[in-house]
Amino acid sequence: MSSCTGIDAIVTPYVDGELDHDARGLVDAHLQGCAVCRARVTAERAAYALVKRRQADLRGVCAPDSLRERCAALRRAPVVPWSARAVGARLRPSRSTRPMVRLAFAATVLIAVAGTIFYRVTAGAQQAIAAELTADHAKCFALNSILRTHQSVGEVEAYLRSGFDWEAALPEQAEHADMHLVGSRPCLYERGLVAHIMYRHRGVPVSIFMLPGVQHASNVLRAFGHDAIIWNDHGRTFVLIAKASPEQVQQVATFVRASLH
Amino acid sequence: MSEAQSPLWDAPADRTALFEAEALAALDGLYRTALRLTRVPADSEDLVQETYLKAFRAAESFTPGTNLRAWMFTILHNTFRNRLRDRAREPVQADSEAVERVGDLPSSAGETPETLLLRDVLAPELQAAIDDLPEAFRQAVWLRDVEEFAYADIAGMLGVPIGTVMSRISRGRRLLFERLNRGKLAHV
Ligand SMILES: [Zn+2]
Repeated sequence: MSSCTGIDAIVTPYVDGELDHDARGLVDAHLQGCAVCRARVTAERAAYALVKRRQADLRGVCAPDSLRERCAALRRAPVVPWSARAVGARLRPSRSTRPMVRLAFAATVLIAVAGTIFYRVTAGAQQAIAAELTADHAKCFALNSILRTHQSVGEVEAYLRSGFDWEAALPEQAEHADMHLVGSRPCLYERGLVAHIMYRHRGVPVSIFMLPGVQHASNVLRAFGHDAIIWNDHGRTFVLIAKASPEQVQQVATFVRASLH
Repeated sequence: MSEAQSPLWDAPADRTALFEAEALAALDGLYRTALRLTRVPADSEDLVQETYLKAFRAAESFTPGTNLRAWMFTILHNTFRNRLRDRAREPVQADSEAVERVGDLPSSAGETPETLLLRDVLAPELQAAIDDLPEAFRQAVWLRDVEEFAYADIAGMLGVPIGTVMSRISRGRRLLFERLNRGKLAHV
């Protein structure tokens, strides 16, 4: 007869009915002579049977509809490269027979990345933008709290000029609005770079992303418990991301929209 | 799977749509499982959303014909572990201690009266008892007995050998039994 440790590894598949005839016989033979293992099997079986009896109830919990919508919106938008000649051209609904293409033309967002390649993004994919940039927001602030980097207004403006050809003027006297500049980083979005400016408002991390050369309608989205506010200004798209009360986020967004040029 | 032979799979756009539909079909299970991991609905929603973001981004790395649901659950658990690591917690250590303790479970389990008592346990009480299990056992029992994954799939999700998965299922079930029984006997 095999020992307790000898059959230990196959007791669970035994309870689950996953052993072949021979292995089952081995466990049966051991159980006949071992009260300790018999008690173990009894306990395991009772718990297993109970979970199975209540399995339908345990699986009765469903994801909220809002979560379903947000996850469905993360599906990849069809990505089609456009030639540089298309830059600035106004898109019109296509007569194409492919539904995916027509859907893409109906999109509210058009992002130009790296100047030469255009991506068409469906309205649903706005959620993907919000999610990706929110993930980036969290990562950059986490990194910053380790590296403790701090940049001046002049350094950030110089970086935006050289890196993004953007003569940005950061808000003056931001401290009076409780906004404290942390710094800026280039962040990878899809296949291009976006400018990422980081502030803290009353200690709360606030990110402002600038996506170059974008036509786009404003929106407010939620991703990972953060608010993402999107707006368009002078042919650029801005996305502000923060995790705070709706009032605080709106207050910060209003300030930034009014004072960032 | 029959879909694998279907002509639908020939068109990349259709293949993507099928992939997405099948991935989204796993949503309820992922959410339930995330609740067992985080215990907080809002955190569970975040975890599931990040899981889908990663899955749709990494769609090319999924091998058609393999278990997409298990693949989604693996991403969920990896994401959860990364978050714990980011918060500099050490769940693995706490777990291995629990594994040691439970390894010496008293085998006082009798043959019949106690197991009959378990029949009356309703879902809410059972759910609470499962949620009370140490994390390693909770995950193993949940993924096996409720979500019905194969040992090998669970091993992939939890990043542990199959033998460890089986021993965690076993100890998790026995712990569940002991705790529920103790509660029942106290009322008799
Ligand atoms: Zn034995």
